Amino acid sequence: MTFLSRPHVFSARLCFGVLLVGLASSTGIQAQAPEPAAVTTPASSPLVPIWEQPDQPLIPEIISTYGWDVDYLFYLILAITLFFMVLVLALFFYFLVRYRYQEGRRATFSHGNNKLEVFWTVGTAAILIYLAFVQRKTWSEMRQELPEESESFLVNVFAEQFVWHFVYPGKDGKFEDTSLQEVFPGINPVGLANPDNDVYLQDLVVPEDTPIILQLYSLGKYDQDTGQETLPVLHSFFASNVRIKLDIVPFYPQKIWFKILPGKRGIYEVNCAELCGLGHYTMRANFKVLSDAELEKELGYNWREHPATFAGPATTEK
Amino acid sequence: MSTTSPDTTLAHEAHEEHHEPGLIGKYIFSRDHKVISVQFLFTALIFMMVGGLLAMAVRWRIAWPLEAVPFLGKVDGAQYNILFTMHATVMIFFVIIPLLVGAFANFVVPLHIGARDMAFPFLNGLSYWVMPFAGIIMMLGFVLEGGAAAAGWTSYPPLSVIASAGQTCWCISLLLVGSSSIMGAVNYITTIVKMRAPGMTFHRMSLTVWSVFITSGLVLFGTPVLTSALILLLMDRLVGTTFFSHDGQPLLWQHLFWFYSHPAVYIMILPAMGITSDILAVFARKPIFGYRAMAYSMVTISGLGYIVWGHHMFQSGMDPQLGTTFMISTMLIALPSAVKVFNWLGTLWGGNIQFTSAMLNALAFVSMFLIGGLSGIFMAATPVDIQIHDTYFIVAHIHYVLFGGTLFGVFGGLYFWFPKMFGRFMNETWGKIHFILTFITFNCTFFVMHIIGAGGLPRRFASYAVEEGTSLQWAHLQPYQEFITISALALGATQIIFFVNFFWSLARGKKAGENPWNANTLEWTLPSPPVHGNFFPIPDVYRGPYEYSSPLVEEDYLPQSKKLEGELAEKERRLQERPH
Repeated sequence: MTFLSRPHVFSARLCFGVLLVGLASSTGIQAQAPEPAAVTTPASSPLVPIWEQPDQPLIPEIISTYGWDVDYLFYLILAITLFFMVLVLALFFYFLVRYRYQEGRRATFSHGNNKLEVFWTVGTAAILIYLAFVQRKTWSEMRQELPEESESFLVNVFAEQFVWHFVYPGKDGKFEDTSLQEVFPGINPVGLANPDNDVYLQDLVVPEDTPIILQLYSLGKYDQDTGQETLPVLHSFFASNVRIKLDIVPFYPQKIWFKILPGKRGIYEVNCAELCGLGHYTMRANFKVLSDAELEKELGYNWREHPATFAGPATTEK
Repeated sequence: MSTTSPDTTLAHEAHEEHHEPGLIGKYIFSRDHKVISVQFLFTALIFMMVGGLLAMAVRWRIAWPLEAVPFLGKVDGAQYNILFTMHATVMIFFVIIPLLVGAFANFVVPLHIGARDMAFPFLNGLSYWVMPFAGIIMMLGFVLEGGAAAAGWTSYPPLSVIASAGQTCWCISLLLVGSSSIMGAVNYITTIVKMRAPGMTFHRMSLTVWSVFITSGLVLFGTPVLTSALILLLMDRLVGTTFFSHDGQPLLWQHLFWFYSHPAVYIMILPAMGITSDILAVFARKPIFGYRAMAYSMVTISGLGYIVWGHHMFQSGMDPQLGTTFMISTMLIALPSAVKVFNWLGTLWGGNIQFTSAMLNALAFVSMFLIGGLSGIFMAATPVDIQIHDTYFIVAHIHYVLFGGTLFGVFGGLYFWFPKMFGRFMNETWGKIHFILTFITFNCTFFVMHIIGAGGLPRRFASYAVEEGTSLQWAHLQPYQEFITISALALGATQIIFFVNFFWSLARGKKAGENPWNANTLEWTLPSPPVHGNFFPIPDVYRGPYEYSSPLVEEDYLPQSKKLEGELAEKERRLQERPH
């Protein structure tokens, strides 16, 4: 039993989790992102995946520009809810002790107190409405706005049961059309019309400090021998370090963006967060944040010299 | 209305037909609401064992993925999906809902409003009789090729369209469960509107009756939507239509499903809230604090409950602007729940609290529902939900509401009404041992899930980085998973105490009198258990259900049907008119 073999680590982390709010409040919750640390990974050092690093934090390290905004809102709600939880539970246990059964004592005959009820109803409503409106900015930044395509790094993401595929536009700056009938596993995994014009990788590779737009497709299966098609299913693109999660809906490609903070070069992970079948839990991909030189090596071309667009032939097969 | 003539009640005719039913008529095809209630209770308890064992297997597989699960052997990814899908399906549709709106509502409603039976006794029987068939069809999935349903209890298409035959069983079974719910809802609404005893105004009904009334409204408007969605899904599966795939909309299912299933979450909690309120008042020996606020907050919950379903779909690809709308409505629905918690707190204030097993469970309901309710605010916040959607945080939340809330409420209700149902007490000592162990192991199991879930640990994974090809970034959380599993196994084992206590007390429990808890509501004026037909004559009701420690009488309770004479009656009239 692993948690018994390292009880000090386990219990320390458990306490850390319970006392998250204490940390959040004592360090002073601030709405703005903390200053990005100086480059933590020297550009030349070899990349070590986060899962091979010792003592991973409970809350994954933030590597995106809006990551802290999400976490700030989390800590804000945590502080408010924990305050009310402690308050109510303290009163609750005080009442249980103070008003425990005593022979011969009579309970107070009271049906309530209108003023008190109005007070806590209005007070709670005010806090809840505040909490709702404070979310709006981050949400619209993350989901309702997209950066300019011409200045962004573009990737087509194909989610298949239970593999991720990543397609990069190549030197021509355009994504090839795809069709399920063209899919040959290992040779043309997503069925590109002209596989040579795009770059296919099993890893998601992205640059630092540049807007990145992903277009998410769900890919069905096609049996080349029988011609049998299997419907594409729901998946969800989830990169915990970026604080991004969006379902991949068949026949309904969606775009999502993020930007990696400078100095966050490293190897992270993409998971599928929507149940997609028996191998759901094995659906993962390496997610590499690379320097421009490394990226050029992976892609075979310098993407900054070949601005790309999603416009053009790219459509999903029907 | 004459209170001595039974001819004035609706239920009378139904009872003329079968005065001395045989054994089968009495215990299997009964139309007596009390017998039907017990039938629901026993069926649900059996399914609770099934659902609980499935949960144990799920937890075992997650903690020790390379080891064989006891009695099941090695579990692969496909079988794991079956395990958690069936755990949720069984617990929600065959345990929680039948316990609340089948067992408790059936038993309590006619007794609390002073009726001889439900308005439609045959319909009531029918609503139970479809349940065993629904259960058999659901379980049939296990023996079919490909196993039982494995697309999650939400069964999102297109996965549920291409799933094996077990999914068809799932759809048909839920169609039956849905019809059972609708039959029950029609019956409860009619009974509560038409068959209240003289003097039983709406504002003199117990909160349990209020909760069933409101829940029935939710069932009546919500369940037909699920039923239609299930038929569409069946069409996609069997006939080859494309409602949810190809040119159709996978998101359409999610909208239809959650349009029912979010109100269904309230179907699964409101009756437990009512039961808890009743128990709190009885054992705090105090009137409910803010009775009308309690009733109206449930009405508000049911109203708002229909405009918040989109918060399950923030990350589904639904228009982000809709996300903001649903966020605001979802934040607002926390308000009536908060009001209820504050009022429960107010009820305890100044009480004379007796810590019976029933009360302990009701108190656990309040404190655990508080945590479950507060954790819901995280999911309502659209950006925060990005990180915690489909993670263990959600699993923690739902279990704090449905186990920490509803199931503690159910335990409380069982300890409370057991004497009235069966004429005997459940053992108090073992009841308290069961409570304490359940409370501790429950929190060890589910509180930790908040912590690992806040980091984004995805749910519905069969293992986390122990087998080849699985995700790697979550492997460092495995010690927590083991801790949770050990707690969950202890939690499961603790329930043995409950089952033994339950069945032992049925035969050997201490005999209970008419009113063992000195409670006010009408059922406690009847013998335990009440005879077929309940009230002879139908009682007159003079006051609300929570007049505990009233200054008008010597003892600390004042039954609803007790008539006060002369000066006291005048005094009570003045008290009732005075605003609080």
